[in-house]
Amino acid sequence: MNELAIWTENLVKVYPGVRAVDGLSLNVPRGVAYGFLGRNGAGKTSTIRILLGLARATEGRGTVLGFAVGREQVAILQRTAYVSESKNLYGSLTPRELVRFTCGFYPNWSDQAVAKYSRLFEIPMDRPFAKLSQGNRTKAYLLLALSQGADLLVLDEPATGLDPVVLDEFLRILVQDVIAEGRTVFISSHQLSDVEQIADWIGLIDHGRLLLEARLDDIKNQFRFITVAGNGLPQTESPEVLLLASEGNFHKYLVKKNAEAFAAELSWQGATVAEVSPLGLREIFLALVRKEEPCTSGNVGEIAEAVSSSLS
Amino acid sequence: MYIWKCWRDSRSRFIVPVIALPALCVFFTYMEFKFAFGMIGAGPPSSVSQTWSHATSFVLGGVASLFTLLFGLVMGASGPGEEFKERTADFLLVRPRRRSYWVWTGWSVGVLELSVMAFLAVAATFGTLTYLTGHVQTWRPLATAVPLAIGGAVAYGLTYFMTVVARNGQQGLSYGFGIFFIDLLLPVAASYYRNVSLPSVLGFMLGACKWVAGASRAFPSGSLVLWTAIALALPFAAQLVLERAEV
Repeated sequence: MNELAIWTENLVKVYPGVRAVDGLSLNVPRGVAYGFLGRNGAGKTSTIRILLGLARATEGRGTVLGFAVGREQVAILQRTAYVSESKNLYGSLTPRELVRFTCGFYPNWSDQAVAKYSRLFEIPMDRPFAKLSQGNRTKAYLLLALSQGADLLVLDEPATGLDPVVLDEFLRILVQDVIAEGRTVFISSHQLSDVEQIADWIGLIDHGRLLLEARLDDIKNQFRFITVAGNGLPQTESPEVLLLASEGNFHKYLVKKNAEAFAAELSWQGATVAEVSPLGLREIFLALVRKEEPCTSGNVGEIAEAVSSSLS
Repeated sequence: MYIWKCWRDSRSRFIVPVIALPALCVFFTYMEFKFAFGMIGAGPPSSVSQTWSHATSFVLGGVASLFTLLFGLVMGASGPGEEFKERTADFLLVRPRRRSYWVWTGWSVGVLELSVMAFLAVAATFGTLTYLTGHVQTWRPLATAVPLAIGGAVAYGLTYFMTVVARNGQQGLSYGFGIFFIDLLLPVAASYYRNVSLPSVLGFMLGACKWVAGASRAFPSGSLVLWTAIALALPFAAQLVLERAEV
């Protein structure tokens, strides 16, 4: 567990009438950029709030940087920087005053980082926060988070209001100044293309449940769409094979491992393989959230067994 | 850090009372002196003593106590509960401190401000009396500031607690005023209709000031313990609520 920046086991959060997080088990390695993806209301922000002590888990447990969630919260917060989804700060304070307010809480605070990022982001440091544009508010929030010298950055929709130039600069900073130093970035976002640029790992949740947790490289190298035509093809699914669509004799599968073996298996069944195509993060996201079938990297076993069982 | 922010947030609510309260004390002391006793300048020793006693009871036990309570109620509205209304709680509460830190730091700054107000009110009253009578009382001013500060801390803590409960400064202030007026009127009604004595924070402040002024022989030690305990219990209750609050 100590190699993990974030670890949760069967995390559950129930609000009146809503099961926001439903048995979530996350394994976020240290020193990586982890993209935490999901639709609106999928449970991303609820999960983050539990991890940071802003909400209590109904069930389950977890650790952040090896410290127990809920019991060792101050130790977690000393080492964690958080950019919230709302990005509200004190309206009457200027970014310079916000820096003054925040710096004393963190022993690793870097005034050099403040100088560097305020210049890079072109933040008006002496204008009250309430009078800043949405983009500048986000930049001020990011400035505070980046200057903490935190081991873990938890970013909830960090790109809100940023123009493409600043966004690009921010992503570069995350890679060069944070991840390269062995620190961890946990980024929750709808901007799949931004996440895809920097993420090493992906966690995808929907209705509070984890649909996928895997290395992005593994996803890109191994996940395939397979479109086939034929009769009597497998309709059942396995952890590695999802039947995404079926119309008449045409079937579309999402295969998570050994796609060529599965395609060969289908050919052996008499099907005509029309296409085996690689997937982008967006296509994976759309495919999985529409299926809502839970699967994790821990479930990814031998494709041959899965194919055999699904065909038998 | 947070102390600086508390001061920054509360100073606009502090500056008016810290000027107004001593000014009111000077004004009422002068009016009391001029119209109630009909004399300006030093009188015979017994009259001077009576003047000090009466002015202390009326100005500090009455006027200053009432205004300290009202100002305390208003100043308490800047408690940590206001962070929820301003939607900054998820920024503040992820700073690496226990939630009790936010409650007690904010409360301490407010009570310190109220104590300064109380001390200045007492100083203004006794300064005016010294000027008008030419007689100096050396020990009483500090002693008189204590019940004022405790009463102010009760009022402040009441709104402070209600602000955390309501997660809104204005609502907390409304609830605080409501409870304050109940505490003001209920003992009067109970005493009038049922001949029952109920504790009242204003009654405690008046009683303590009368004792300090020598107008009352019985020191209200029971009330002092009770209202000190309440003054400390309110931020503790706010802490319990805030520790269980979800953002």
